[in-house]
Parts: sequence; structure tokens; C-alpha cells
Amino acid sequence: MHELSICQSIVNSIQEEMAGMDPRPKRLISARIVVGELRQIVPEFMQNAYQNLTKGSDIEGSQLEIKALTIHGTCEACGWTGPLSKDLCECPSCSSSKLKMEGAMDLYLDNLEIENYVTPEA
Amino acid sequence: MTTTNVKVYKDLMGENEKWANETRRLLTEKCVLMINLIGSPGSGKTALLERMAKSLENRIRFAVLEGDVETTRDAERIAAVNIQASQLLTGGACHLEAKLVHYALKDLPLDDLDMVVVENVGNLVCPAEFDVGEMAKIAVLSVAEGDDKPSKYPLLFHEAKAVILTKIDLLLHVDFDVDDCIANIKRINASAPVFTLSAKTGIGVDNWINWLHERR
Repeated sequence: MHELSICQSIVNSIQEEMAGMDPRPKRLISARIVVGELRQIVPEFMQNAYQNLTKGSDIEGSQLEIKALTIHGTCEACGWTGPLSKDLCECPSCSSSKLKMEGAMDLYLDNLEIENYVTPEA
Repeated sequence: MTTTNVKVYKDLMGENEKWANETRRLLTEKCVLMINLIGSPGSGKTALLERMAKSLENRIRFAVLEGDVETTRDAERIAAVNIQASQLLTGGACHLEAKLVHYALKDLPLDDLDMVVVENVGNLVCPAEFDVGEMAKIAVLSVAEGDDKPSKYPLLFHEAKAVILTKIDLLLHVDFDVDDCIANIKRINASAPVFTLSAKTGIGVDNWINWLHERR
């Protein structure tokens, strides 16, 4: 259910970015967000929230693309680095629990695909 | 049709984070510790606070911000043990966010306090996602809920700086393997201490309070 409040922040962020673009874009085709694997975001709920929150706005009809980000692990004991499964809390190489996780809780707006106004050629 | 891809890197929790950081700045300036208690409805968060009010006898002067969907019942329970409490009603939202907590915090007499306890909305999932400006998230799990919960709801236990297993006076009556549960917690979060206690009888409460003392 927290998807709705996070989605409001997505919509606000997209609209802020769009408003700051020069020249002004004609419309938003799609927006991509990146979500760390430990974030408990249900893509279906997020899509529904996006449809509802954009209804009647200047970005109605645009698509939301949700990209999952794999956790990057670094072992502070043996120096191993690599992709980490979210339920793995021990180093796959030396079994130490001194693992540093990167990207697990990331949540950011990554890319906007926009349609431009066609400018008449000079 | 001409289209363009515009690369953006914008943190979507930025607005919440701004308020959370403002809260931490204020707390640091006033030398006040803030913890964020997170657990299921009925896990014993309010009962723990009632017990702390008795056990602490003002050695740590604290106030409580009570998060709930509806009613002021929890704030009334806390006020009844002579602890200042404000009720934060979310009106349906499943978690507290940093802005609401910040405004409630500013109404507290921070100069006369050592600690603020945020009792989040009863929920093992959503509150773990949101930084409300606390120094530590504390996971609260009662033995009546089952020893598999840390594995089922790993984010909260991953984010917690300490875990409290409550209602251990019920251990005779429920199938709950304490060692198994602690092993599950350690797998998710090796550094968080686990406190087993009963708010009803007072067993184990001292260890938790000592940990709070060390944090001050």
C-alpha cells in the first residue's frame, strides 16, 4: 500500500523534470524507475497507482517502466565482490557476515522518453 | 515523430529524506535520541512503552509519538503512565512519513527530553521503507506471531539496529523456537542485538534499557 505514496513522489518528480525541459516536450511516452531488490515494491500495485495518479494530468497515458536493480555485494573479510541474492547474508566465498550491500534500497527516476514538438525545418 | 531519451537521476525518496535529515539535525542539536519502533499490530509495542515508563523512573526522560490509522487509544495509554504522548493519525496510510513526524516532534519540549520514541503504525512491511529521521529502527516481534517472521519479512530485520522479542512469558503456550528465530535474524542482520523480554512480567527489560543508555 505504500506504493501509492511512493508513486505520488514519482509523478511529482516527472512533472518537475518535464517543466524544467527546454524546449518544452510535447508529451511523455514513458518513464523508467530503478528499484533496489530489498525495496518491497509490488510492480502491479505501482502500475495501478501510476494509472490512477496520472489520470487527467499532462502525463496521462504514459508508461511506467520498473527496472529491478541487483544488489552488489562486497565482503569486507575476503574482498569478494559480485551480485548478491537478497536472501543471502553471508559471503558466498568465505561465509563471513561482513557483507556490504550496495543498491539494495535504491529508488530513483532513471530515464524519461519524451516526444518532441516537430520544429519546421529552416 | 521525434523522440528523445532524457537521462535523469532523481532520488524518489528525496522529499521524505529532506524532512528526515532536518529531524536528525534538530535531534542532534538538542542531544535527543529518537528510535522508531516497528512491529505488527498486537506485537506489544505500547505495552513495552508502558513498562519502560515504570522501569526507567525518569532516568531517561522520554516522550512518545504514537502512529495509528485511527483512535487516540495508544496515546491515552501512554499518558496514563505519565509520559507525554502525541497521537499521529494517518487516516488510512500504512506507515508514518518524515514530514508528519517532524511537525509532531517540533511540538515536544525537546530541551527537557533525552529520548523520543516513535511507535509506528502496526505493520511489518511498509514502515521499514521510510526513514522518519530516527537514529535507529527497532523491530518488535512477539513470540505469539511465530519464529519464521524474520525470514518472511526480511527488510525490517535488515534495517533494524536492534530486535526485541516480546511476550516471552507466553513461551510455554506457543510453538516458538527462540534459538531458531535468533539464528534467522542473525542471518539477515548479523550486527543487531536481540533482546528477549516480557513487558508484562518485566523479565529481560533491563538489558534493553541498558542498550538505550549506551546509545544516549
